[in-house]
Amino acid sequence: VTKTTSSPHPLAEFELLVMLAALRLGPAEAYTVSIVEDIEDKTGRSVRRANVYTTLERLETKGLVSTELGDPRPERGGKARRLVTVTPKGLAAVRATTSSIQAMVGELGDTILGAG
Amino acid sequence: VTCPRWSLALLRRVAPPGRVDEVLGDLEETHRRRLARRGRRVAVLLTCVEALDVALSLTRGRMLHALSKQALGLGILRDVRYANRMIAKRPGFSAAVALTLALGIGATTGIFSIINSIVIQPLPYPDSNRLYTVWEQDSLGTGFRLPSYPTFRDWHEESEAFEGLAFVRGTGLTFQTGDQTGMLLAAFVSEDFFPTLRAPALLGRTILAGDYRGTNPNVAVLSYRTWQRVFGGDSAIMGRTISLGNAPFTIVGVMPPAFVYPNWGAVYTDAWLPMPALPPSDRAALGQRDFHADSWVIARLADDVPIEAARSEMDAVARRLATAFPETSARWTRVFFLSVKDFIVGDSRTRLWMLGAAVAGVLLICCVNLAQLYLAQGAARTREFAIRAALGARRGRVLRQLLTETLLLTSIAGALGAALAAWMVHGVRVNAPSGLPRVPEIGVDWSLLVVAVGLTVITAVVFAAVAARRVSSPHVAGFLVERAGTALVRGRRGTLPASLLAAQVAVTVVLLVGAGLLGQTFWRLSVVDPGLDTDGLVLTVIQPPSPAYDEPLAAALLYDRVAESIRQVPGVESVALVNHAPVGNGGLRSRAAIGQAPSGASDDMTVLFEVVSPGYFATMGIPMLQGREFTAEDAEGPAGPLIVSATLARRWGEHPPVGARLGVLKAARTRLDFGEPLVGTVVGVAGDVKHFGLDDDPPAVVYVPYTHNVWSQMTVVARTALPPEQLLRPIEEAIRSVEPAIPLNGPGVGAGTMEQRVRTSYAEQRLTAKLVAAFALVALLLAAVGIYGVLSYTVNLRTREIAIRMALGASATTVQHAVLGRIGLITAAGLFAGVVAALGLTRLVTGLLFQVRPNDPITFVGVAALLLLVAAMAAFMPVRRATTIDPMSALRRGD
Repeated sequence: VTKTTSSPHPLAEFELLVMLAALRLGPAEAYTVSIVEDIEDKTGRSVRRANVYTTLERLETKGLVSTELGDPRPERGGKARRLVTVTPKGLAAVRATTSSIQAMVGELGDTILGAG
Repeated sequence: VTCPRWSLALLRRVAPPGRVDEVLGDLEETHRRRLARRGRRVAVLLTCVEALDVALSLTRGRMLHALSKQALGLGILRDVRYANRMIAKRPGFSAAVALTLALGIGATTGIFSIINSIVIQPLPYPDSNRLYTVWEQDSLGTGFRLPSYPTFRDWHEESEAFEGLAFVRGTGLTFQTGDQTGMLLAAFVSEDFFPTLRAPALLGRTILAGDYRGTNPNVAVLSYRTWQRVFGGDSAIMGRTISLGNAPFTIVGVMPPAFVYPNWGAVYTDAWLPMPALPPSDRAALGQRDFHADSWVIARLADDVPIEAARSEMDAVARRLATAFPETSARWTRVFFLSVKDFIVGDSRTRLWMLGAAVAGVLLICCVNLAQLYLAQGAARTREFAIRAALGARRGRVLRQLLTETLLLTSIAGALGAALAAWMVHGVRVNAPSGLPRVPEIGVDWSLLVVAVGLTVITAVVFAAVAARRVSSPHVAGFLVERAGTALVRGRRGTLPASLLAAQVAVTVVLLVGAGLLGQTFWRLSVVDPGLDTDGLVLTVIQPPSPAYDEPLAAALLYDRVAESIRQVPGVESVALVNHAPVGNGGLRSRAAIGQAPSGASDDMTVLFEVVSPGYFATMGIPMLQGREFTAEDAEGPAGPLIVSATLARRWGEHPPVGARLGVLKAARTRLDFGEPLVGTVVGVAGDVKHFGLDDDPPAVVYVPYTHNVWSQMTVVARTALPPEQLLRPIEEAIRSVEPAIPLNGPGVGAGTMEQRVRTSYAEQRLTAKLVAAFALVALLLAAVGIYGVLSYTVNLRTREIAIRMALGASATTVQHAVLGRIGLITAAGLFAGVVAALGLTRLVTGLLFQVRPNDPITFVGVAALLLLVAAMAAFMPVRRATTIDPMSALRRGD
């Protein structure tokens, strides 16, 4: 068995979910509140925004995402959103993590789905 | 319609500066959506919870970050590394601190461990506070005597207040096992003895009821020490036979190390045997109601009986016995209870507490010096701290630095102190002065070490904190500027509050006075005239083996042959015999009356009963004041000639007692004629002898020729012009050549010199005096260091000021006054306070003093002079430096 990836930053599960949500929403719409909603919608589980703050802070420290303040919005009481962009390094990390999961799942897919 | 105001306020407060907008916006947006979807009440609730959650996670992140990076990990390691560097950089200061502390901690821990073991800890018996020794007391309440065995039996019969009442009789016995022979101190105990003490055996068993009723009472329980010394700790000795006093005994048990009761002074019991196994001669003595020696009665109060009830019950018993046996007990109408612990600890209590007070004083002075060192150091390092503060170090940071250094030094000191304490305690265990009780129980109490270390750490921390506080930020600039030379440095900064320095001087004065008084006591004891010529005397106890010499005639013949044999030893000039030689605690009291046999009436005199051989007074160097000493004819002829001591002779008043009639009761304890009167004629008056100890008054003595009441053991005294140590072996050889079974190895037997005996008699006073003197010297040294430190620091700080004054024409005297003014005042105040305190405190130790009054003016004046002298010496160097400052160079110096 050969190693599929050598990424220096394998992502933890919640980190991966946040990264995927940010990718799906795109740089113009990905920010804390939308990321929480997206994960809740897709996975059906409840997400604490506090967790998203700390996760995003960690991801940014690792250079996997970059953030910038957007325009003020009336529905936010005139406050700006912090918009999240996945960096190329972040994309590589997502790719490495998902492919290692896929490699591990492999032909187990039927078994897992069947069991589920 | 917005989210709750407080949640916004909370998040605004805790969010990192750049993220306030974003976080608040997120909260607002979510809240609006919730309002729309779930209604106001649920939305507010959820938003509040969420705000708290977010606030916590935002702050926790920062707190963890701060803790991990700054405070805990790197910070403290850095502090320790830095502290190490600072300690190494100032080896003198660090060594001074560590050694001062180690001394204080070690001495305090050591002495208080000993106090704790001896005075404070209960005796090693369960419920030991209910154990008492019981004595007969006379109707006046001033006389005490040990109960005789018949009296004990009556007490045992008639009392109900006790759970146990036991009789112990101590006696020296020869022992033989395998090829070993020697002496053991045996205690014959009544049936209640072990149950009363509730003492279980370490190995085997104690003496049980069956041993008292069975056919073979000859069982022995050994002390731990004897088991180790004689049998090498062999656990297979149970059931083995040991010969004690020429009778076979079966060893049935070994007691634990701390079980040494009863101790006879510092001599501990080696073996316990049941009363029915008493040798016949002892049994005869014990049967006599007038025999009061070498035995104790111990009682354990029943649980629900108060001591007052026991006392009144026993007083009633005593009154009945006094009526029933008037000839022996008429005056003895009361019973006296002394707790076993008080009895065992006795005089050592005051002595030990005084040592404790002295050592506590030393620790106090150590702490004051430590504080002074820290304040001076803190001030000397003002520049360092000021620079650090200017570069952004907060006060807490500087304080933590000082604390780390302090703790590091205190740990080193604690380790050294622990070693010192262990060494002290071991030393006392091994070389305990005779008379120090409970020695086998002495051990280091490590909790005391913790207390001592804790005390010093607190001192160090407090004063390190004070030192650091002085470097508070508003003054930082001032410090830097002052050092740069535009202002004079205030002289007071960095010195201790005057009261602490004065207290240090005061404590030193008290210690010095104590040392002075005890030193005088010791010196006076060492030069006191014991009433005999102690040089060139060798003493050996002759213990005739039983039963060959049980008969008085056989014993007297043996003593004669031994004396004759020693007389042949080259270098021996004269030889004599005595039952109880001075100076020590041995001696048997009897009753005497002028002109007739003692009647038991209250005008009987209590006298020391001494039997001696012809030539005793010449050999001992005791002067004959009147009449003559005993001759060979006196010893061989009929009973009659008596000699009295000068103290007793005074009872005749103006008339010389020579030729007067005197009656005395025979006191040889194992003889059948014990207690019978001997009425004779006084043929001489001998000089007084300090028989029971150099600090005791000489007793009234009646001397009787040894053949007229033959003692069961004698001391043979030999005088020589040679160094007496050279004759110890030859004299033992001479004794062995007469009777090899006379024991010469073991406690209390074997040849020894009189000088040694006299020195041992005040060994405890000598040790106390030495220790207190050592503590006082340390205190004096520390006080001197303190004065020197303060002065030289002041001079350093005021160099510039002094230089300016001198440049403006101040004389050296003026400068000296300026420098010395404050310290002189402090020393004087401390001296005064110390003298006042010493006047009060020394009263408490009056009992330890000999021929010195507690307010002895010579001691007080001497101490004051010594202290002023040392203070002056300590002040000399700094003051000299101040007056020899060269104004120009001092002012030019940039510092």
